[in-house]
Amino acid sequence: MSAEVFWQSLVNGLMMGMIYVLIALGLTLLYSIMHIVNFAHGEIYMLGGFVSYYLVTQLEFNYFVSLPVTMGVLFVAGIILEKLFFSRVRGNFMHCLLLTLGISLIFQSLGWTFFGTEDVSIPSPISGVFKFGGIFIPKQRILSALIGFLLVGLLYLLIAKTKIGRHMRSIEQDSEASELFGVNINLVNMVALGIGFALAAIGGALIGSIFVLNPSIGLVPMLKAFVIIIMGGLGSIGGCILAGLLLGIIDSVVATLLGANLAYVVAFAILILIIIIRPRGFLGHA
Amino acid sequence: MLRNNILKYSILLVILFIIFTLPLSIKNPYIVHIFIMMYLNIVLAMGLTMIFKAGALSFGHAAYASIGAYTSVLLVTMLNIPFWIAFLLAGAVTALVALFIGGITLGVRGIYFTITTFAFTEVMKGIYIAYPNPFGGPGGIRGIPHISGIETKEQFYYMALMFALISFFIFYKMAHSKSSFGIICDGLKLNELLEQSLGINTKTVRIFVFIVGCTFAGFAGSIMAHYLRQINPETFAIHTSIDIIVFCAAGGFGNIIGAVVGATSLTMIGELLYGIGTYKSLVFGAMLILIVLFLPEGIVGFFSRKRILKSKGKI
Repeated sequence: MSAEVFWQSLVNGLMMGMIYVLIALGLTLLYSIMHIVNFAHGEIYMLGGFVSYYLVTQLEFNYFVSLPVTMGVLFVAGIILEKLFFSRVRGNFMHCLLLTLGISLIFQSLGWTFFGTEDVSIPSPISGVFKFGGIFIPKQRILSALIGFLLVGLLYLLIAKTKIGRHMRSIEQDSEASELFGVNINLVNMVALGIGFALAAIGGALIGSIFVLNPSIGLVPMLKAFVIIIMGGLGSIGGCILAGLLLGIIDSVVATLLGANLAYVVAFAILILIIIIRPRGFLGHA
Repeated sequence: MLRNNILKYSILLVILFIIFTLPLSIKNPYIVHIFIMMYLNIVLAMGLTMIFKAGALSFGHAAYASIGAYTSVLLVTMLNIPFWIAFLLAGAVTALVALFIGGITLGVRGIYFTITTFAFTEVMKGIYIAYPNPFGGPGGIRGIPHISGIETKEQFYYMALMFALISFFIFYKMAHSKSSFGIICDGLKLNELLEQSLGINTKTVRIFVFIVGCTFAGFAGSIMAHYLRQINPETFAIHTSIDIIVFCAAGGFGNIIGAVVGATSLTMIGELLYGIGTYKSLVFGAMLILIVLFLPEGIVGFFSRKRILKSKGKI
């Protein structure tokens, strides 16, 4: 592997990693606040891609306008699902798992019915590549990574500085005690689920303009997001970002060296190592 | 009480009579095929139920079936080992893999086990695809030879039936709430700390149950591969793991009879829906949600609770 190929795959990996971070942040938010392992996260990501695709191609939205609209749509979807289903099984880990699995099956099946089996792609608003030394970077990827970076920053501000963020952190520490102190758990759960869904959705919308969309694309990014949240430490935003970027790089470098199928195997080997050596992840609490 | 027992055993005898004479009376090969798949699904569901009974929810049960399947197929096709030896070795290899994965992840509390098992299915698929030699790549392995002596569908039917019955006997004994091992398993979910204080090594018990469940999945995978005579990375992928979970949830999680009932009824429903595209996952998904919301103990759990209430005179 020449130095140029290495740097090229490193940069590609960082950009993909940024999008994995978005998906994984939603997952870790849902896990730490609502104790939900969301097996429907990949399908939400897929839906986000398709919502953005239809907004841009059918309703002729500007791509940049379609992104916040997509997030809004899935935010509302999250609130509806929380009201309909999740609020009824709160606290039962096993039932939450089965529920999200059921939702994922339904969304995927409906996806095949309504979106068809052909790969589609969101028309990219900007084209061309940056040339930097020997490395080529499509501008669309830079844009996606920047949007991802911006959203991670916004999420950090939301959790660290706002009232609802403080309530989220208090529920994470002790939900009963925070309820006693007047935190509205229903509201916080609704917002958390909405944000988690919106982050997954924008991940799908960003990927849809780089790669292709079809109803089965959700599985692999979701599995990677699971690996990321364990690697980074459950509930830790910093760990999530670190692990996401690392996994993106590993993925890309290993895929260039050994092929895409083995990239996943290497990531899994790292996951096993982390569980043996440091089960709380890079930056997780003990 | 006696009348109840007589009724129970006569129903059991009728069911046994029907399943033993089925291929003699029904000559339709498709129906025989459904029953063969059903027996293998029952074994997979019972294994997962047993693992759940020990307090761990595995999302990668199909991966172990695929390991058993590939092991026995490769031993038979490449080394010309007789099927029955390959079958036992397939179980042994599956058990070793289960020991490795379970030994690492079952010791750590939390969601690690569920997520690792879920990811493990996709990892095995990646390995099968990445190495065409010996795994055959995306196309898998075709033209797997017949098991000598078991060549017709009817013979296979009886083999699968015997396999399912033996597994049922073993799992039923293990899970039975009157056997000491069944009591230990029940206690794992109720109060693990208390069990530890009684000198029971709960981690070992959990890993042991996981290995047994996975080994039987390996056996079932081996039989299924030699029955279908072809295998590819999609034969046992994540959708298979999810199917098995739906079987268990429908029958009642943590209940061996529930696993049998769930696998039996949903294999049939799944086959009925097979012709109409992707609606199988729609129906299975909807079923999963309805079960969680309205019937959290599954079909069997629901009826047994009703019976208990009835015997106490509350209905």
